[in-house]
Amino acid sequence: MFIHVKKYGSIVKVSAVCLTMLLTSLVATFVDAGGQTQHLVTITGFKFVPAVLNVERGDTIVWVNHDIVPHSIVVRSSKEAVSPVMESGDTFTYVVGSSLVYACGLHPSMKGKLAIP
Amino acid sequence: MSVATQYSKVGSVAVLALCVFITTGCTEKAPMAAAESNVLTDANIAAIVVGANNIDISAGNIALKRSKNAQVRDFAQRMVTDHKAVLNSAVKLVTKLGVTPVNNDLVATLAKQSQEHEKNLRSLSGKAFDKSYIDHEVAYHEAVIGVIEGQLIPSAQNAELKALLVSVLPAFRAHLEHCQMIQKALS
Ligand SMILES: [Cu+2]
Repeated sequence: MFIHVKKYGSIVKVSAVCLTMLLTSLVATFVDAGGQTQHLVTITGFKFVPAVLNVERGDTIVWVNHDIVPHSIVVRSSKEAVSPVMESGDTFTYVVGSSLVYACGLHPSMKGKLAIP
Repeated sequence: MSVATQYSKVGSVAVLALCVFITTGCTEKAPMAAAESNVLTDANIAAIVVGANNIDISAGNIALKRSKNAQVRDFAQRMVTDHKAVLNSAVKLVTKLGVTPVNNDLVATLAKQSQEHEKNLRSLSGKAFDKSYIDHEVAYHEAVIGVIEGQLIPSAQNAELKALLVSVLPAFRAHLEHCQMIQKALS
């Protein structure tokens, strides 16, 4: 997603990265330069934040594990794995195909939902 | 002695003139009572955090050796992995702060109860083992959450240590919910 800033040189690229980091730390949802809607779900304090997200088919979800322990994403009803185990600091990117009612595969009390209205 | 009464004693060791949160259920008022009878130093708190995590790692390792129940084994592995991570971050912080853990009566009581529990676990197998391990995990997590909220957080002097204690609570709460689910499934 930073390809378009390459021609402006590394300084611009660095600030674009900084800006993106700032944005992703402040808001859960933003539209990137390619017009793609991205949603950030932060895993912190054994919670998915935000726990419920309204999404559209084709949107990108990025889970970031800010906890010191591993977590994972599974389909809540079937326990089928959506993500591999995310160690502390890991991210997992997922393109929405349908609504998803999920939980952490390691900590069943952690619950989340991607809802297509 | 039941596990619940056994662990209610843990609370009574460090806080005198108290409302013992587990037996009376007055968790909400416990922090105030503990704050007034502030007897824990940061060095004591460090020892309690290290001891409490080690106890759960040790019990988890026994369960991994003895249990054949997939749910129980998954939970035990979680206890080993998560409590090691909490322990490492606690050790890292107290090392950075230059705090040397100092044992107190609460640490001694926890250690003694843990030894008795482990001896009991080693004599059990099958469903009896799973039930004993999980029942104890429920009581233990309830007790530790009570101690962290009611005694450690109000007593902590160093802001970073206090923040660490606050940050580990969600882990203990998630583990409590997890073992309560298994407890229901086993009964
Ligand atoms: Cu988890």
